Amino acid sequence: MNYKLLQHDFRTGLLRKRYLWLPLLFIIPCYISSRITTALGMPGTWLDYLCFFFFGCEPIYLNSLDKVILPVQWLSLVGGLLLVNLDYLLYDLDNAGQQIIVRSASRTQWFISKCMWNIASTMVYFIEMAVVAWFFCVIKGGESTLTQISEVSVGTYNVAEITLQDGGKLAFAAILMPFFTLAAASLLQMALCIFIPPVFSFFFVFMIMELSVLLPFPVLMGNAAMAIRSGILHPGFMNVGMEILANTVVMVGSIVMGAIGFRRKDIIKWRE
Amino acid sequence: MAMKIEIKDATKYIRKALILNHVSVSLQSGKIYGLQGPNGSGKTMLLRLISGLIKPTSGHVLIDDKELGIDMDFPPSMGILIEAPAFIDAYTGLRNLELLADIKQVIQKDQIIQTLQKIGLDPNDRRKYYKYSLGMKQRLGIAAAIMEQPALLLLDEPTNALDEVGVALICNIILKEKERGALIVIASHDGLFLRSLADELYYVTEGKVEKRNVCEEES
Amino acid sequence: MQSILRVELWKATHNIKFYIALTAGVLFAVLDAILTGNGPLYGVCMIVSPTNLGSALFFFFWPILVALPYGWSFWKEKKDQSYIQIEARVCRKEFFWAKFMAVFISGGIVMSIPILLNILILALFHPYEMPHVLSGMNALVNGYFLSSLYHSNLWLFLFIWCLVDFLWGGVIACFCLVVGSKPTFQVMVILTPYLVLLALEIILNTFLYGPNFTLYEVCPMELAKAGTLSANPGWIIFSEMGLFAALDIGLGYWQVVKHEL
Repeated sequence: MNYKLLQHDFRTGLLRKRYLWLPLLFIIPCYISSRITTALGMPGTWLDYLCFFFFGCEPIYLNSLDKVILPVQWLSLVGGLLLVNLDYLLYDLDNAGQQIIVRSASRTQWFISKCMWNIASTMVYFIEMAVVAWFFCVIKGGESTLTQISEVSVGTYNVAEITLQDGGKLAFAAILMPFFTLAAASLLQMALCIFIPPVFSFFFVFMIMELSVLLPFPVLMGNAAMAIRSGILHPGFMNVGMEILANTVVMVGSIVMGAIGFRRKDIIKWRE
Repeated sequence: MAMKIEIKDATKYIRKALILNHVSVSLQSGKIYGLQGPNGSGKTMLLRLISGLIKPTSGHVLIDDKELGIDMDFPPSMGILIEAPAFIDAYTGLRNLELLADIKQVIQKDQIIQTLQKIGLDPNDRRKYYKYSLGMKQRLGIAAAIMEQPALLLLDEPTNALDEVGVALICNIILKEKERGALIVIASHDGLFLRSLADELYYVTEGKVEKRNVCEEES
Repeated sequence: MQSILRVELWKATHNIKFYIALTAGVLFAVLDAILTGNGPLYGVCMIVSPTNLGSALFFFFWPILVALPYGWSFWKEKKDQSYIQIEARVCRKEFFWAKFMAVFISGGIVMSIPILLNILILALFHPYEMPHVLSGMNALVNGYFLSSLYHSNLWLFLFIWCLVDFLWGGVIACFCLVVGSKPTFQVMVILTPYLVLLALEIILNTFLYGPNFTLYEVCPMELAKAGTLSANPGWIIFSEMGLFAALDIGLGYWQVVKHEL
């Protein structure tokens, strides 16, 4: 692993102004959950706020007479991350790119470094989300704990199986699984950028995420990022093992496909 | 430091268009090679091929008997300036070079400063890269190519956007790089500039490369 | 003016992104036609009853589809400096209006052709019946735009809605001009209208809707459908469309004509 290259990617890739705009994206989910806490008359914990972001929506059954209502908040959080991570690869090759890549000595290492950056960027996204949630929690006088949930989450998720001690279960379904899924989606998007222009790459991955909303199959990766559909919270909904497998396949597949594709790619002018 | 490059029967197609047509060239350290030819003849593509940025559809590029693209992805010690120089807009010239130097970590900040001074740029200039003039950008691009004293130096139209003083300065720098023992390949449409520097001159036309005698060219 | 408009229109409708956007829109529309259930035409066409995968995809991605054909053109011409060649031949005002019209028409085509195609395909397989107010099925009752026409002349209702969507497509596509050449990458220019509409959707849903405010549909992304959850009266549709058009023309004009090139 070329640590100097990785260091370069972290420095130039994670110090971009767009990360400063991200909290705006997180304010609305926090605002909605704070309204719920107010309605329920209890402050809620930090974990309650965090678990609200990737709530998602219950499975939609198409072809019923009901009109489709998409979980716009969930889709915007997913789209937000995909956009944040969309163009660094392009930016890096477009700016000092050729100078960097010839110094990196290896195309594979260059791509692996971008993959590492991608995962780190997803992590930063979640950290910012946690910070905004913490602020809201503190303002509302809630407890800053990441292990306990309150009646707020029990009410939001509306499941009898969750008890107040189930913070870990909920955190797994509502934070860890979305993180894993979004990291995989983001890597897929980056790998696709090597073969098709970024706008189509974003469109393709985002369409998979929207298809996941409309088609509740565990193999469609977006389902794993919707906590309400998790088999952990609702036995009989999505199979968590299958979801993890599907996301792992996407993640590993993207890295391998991207690395092979980049090895063969002529670096002439990056298509937009 | 010594480097030998052999291009053996390399052909390159991009979307069915023939870019390089059975090119065979041998290059050695301590010499300046000039690539002359009209626009779109394939000079830049030949530089990209040598640098490892593109791969031949058929044929081989050997660097010290190791095949580029198989035994290595890029030549081990190389400085390039291909097409327009590009850097991160939000940083100063010095900061951009520092970031690049950080990847290989073979030179220190004082050497970067020396290179900037040598190329006619002020290391203390606080202006961001996007505020640079075309000529300053070109100088910074050349500085990035030469700062790590590479064994292979590939320069594509290095005199673009430079004034007369700048061209003279670049000629001087290139000659010093040659004295140091670097293998230098320069692509330019400017025959006069190439003839004043090159030890060997190649004429590129429609993807074919043919060697020309420098003295013949001069006459 | 005519010659520059002709050139811009030709460029807008003869590029790969236009074909891709139109193909994607048509695919969604055909998918909707395939997946839709039984029922009379008035209840199944995607503009009235967006209840399946095809229509859901179409009505979620339409802001990207309409911006894709030519919304990026000013940005690109400014970045590669080719606008200078045009500037030297026509005045800036003419350039702006030609560009505006070309982006508008390309966006409108990509928006309305799939919808029209969906109606025509469904008309081949589903009976033409007049909806009954009391049927309760996908009823566009009082308060919906052209609801009386829906119950009296369905064809006219559908074609007028195609026209409304043509206008929506055009207006939203022209929103790309608002950002001028500020974004670093073309992809961001294409995604700008989508991001703005998505942000509006979230903000309006969060702050306006609730138990006390479900009377009218106000999210512009939803207003491209005839069959919205809440009523979509004409004054809301056209005032929002007018607002976007004013922004397009005002800020776009500033970016292209007044802004220092």
